[in-house]
Amino acid sequence: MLIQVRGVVKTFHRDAETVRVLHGVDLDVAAGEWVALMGPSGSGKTTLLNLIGGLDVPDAGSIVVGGEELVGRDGGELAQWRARHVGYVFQLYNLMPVLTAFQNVELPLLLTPLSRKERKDHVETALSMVGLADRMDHFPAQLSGGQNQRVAIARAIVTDPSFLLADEPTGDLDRKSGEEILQLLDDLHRRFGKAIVMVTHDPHAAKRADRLVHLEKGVIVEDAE
Amino acid sequence: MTGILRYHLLSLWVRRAGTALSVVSIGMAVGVLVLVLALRDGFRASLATTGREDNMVVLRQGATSEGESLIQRHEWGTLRDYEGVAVDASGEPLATAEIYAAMNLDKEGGGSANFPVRGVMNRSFRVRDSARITAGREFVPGTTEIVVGKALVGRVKGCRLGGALEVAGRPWPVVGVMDCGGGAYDSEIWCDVEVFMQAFRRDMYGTVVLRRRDPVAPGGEDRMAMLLAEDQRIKAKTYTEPGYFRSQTRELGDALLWVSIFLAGIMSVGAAFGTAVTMLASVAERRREIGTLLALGFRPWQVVVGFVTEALVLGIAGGAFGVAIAWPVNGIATGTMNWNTFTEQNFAFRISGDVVLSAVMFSSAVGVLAGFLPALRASRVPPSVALRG
Repeated sequence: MLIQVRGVVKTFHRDAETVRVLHGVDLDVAAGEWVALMGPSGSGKTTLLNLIGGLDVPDAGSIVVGGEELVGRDGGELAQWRARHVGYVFQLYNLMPVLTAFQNVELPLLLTPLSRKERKDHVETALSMVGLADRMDHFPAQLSGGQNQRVAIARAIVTDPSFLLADEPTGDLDRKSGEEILQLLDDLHRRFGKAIVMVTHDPHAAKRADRLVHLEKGVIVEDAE
Repeated sequence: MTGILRYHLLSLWVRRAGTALSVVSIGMAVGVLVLVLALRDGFRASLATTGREDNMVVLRQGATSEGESLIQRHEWGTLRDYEGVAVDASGEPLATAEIYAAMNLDKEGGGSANFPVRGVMNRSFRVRDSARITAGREFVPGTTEIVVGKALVGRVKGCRLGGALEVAGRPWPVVGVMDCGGGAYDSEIWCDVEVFMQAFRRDMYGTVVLRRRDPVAPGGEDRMAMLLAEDQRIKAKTYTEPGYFRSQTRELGDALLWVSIFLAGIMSVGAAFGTAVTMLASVAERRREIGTLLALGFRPWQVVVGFVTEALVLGIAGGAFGVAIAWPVNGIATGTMNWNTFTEQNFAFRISGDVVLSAVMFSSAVGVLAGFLPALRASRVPPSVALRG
């Protein structure tokens, strides 16, 4: 099993208010599996995604990814682990507006010991895979939403991570662009066997996944193939 | 790390209004620092570069300046013939006895100030040969003729070739203008020492200058100075000629240094706050970008280094701006009271390499101090929170 989540509890504090977002969630994701997390707003989908990606730490429970326990690691160790194993795709692309497509995709490679030439090769390969080899020198403001999300996907895969985490990857796109992005994720999943955990509100997008996990009020209420 | 630095540097360019504001505020503080340091260095340079290392200035023990020193005529005779004094082609010792005083003179454009007057022997032009007559001639011994330093021309009434100064109720004609390349003598008035002593009812010299026959090896012992120090006939205190002038810059030089630290310190607090506010705004605006960097695997310390680098660049740019706005004063002549001699000293503002280096180091420190807190704040936001923007 690639990802094993056991009894995860997460609570947020806002002023005097305490909100328990996840109530002892268990979830397994196999290598090469595509899991869609669905549920209403506030159900804990993104929180669970962040915990699996090591962006946050649970109050209780265990998260084991690729045999490595994430709980108990400090911020620096988690950052190092994320750089090696996780590829992120965000709803709003989260590209650096001051950098070109090439430079954005190159960012995670700056944390690796690769040479400049090797980084260039990797970036060109990743951008070719998302069909943007001819847009390397464009800035995000010069690209469409769909193209920006492709750049973000290229950035997510350029380090060849163990799995991809996608938070509403089509949420900011029109139907056609969204479909193209889903097709791209599907290709990566099928051709390279990448495991994907995707948060989505869109049932159409969720159909692409191998498995649908439905959360409500911090608990998994449905887990179906 | 160069790739991530590119992101930070480009971010400064994209937010150029805030960047420019920080650069200007730091630059203003640096400009003040540069101006005062240029004043100090100009003052120091004008004195410290005066004269020759192989000229020995002899004062009375206990005197801290030429104006306070008294040397009797028989002591001058002993000193002139001292072992180790060089002689000229005619066998005359290259030695001179002088008297130094302050004289209140009217300035062009109103007001008056004390200016240094040096009663000298004609031989002084050969001994203190850093001063050269560039217009007119030397004075004739036994007359009230005078030679003036070039810095006084146009600053003091009557100080021009063909002009005259009112001294002891009589006009003393200016027959020559001398130039010592920006040094102390450019601000002095030279006249015959005996005429001066008669006019001011003095009977003792103040200073003796001796040209050494044998140079002192660097780090070697100064035998002539040691002999003089132990000589019971003369209670003497010796300096090299530039060394004496350096000693005369200490009080004002130190005061100017403290003034510069004080003024630049106050202004830099304002500049640092301005830069910190700009950086905090930038950090708030780029929260999602910071979250993305952390999500991609950049460590919090790398985020700190990135933002501190931005602040450092702001500081260096501010330093360059400060030097640039102060640069027009470089070389401009001015005058101030020398607190050691209580006479007006003319000099030019001097923005040296050291001043530029001090300014840039200062502005870099202001930038880094101002940027550190915002940088720390940026790095401490949990990535999951930062990603929400």
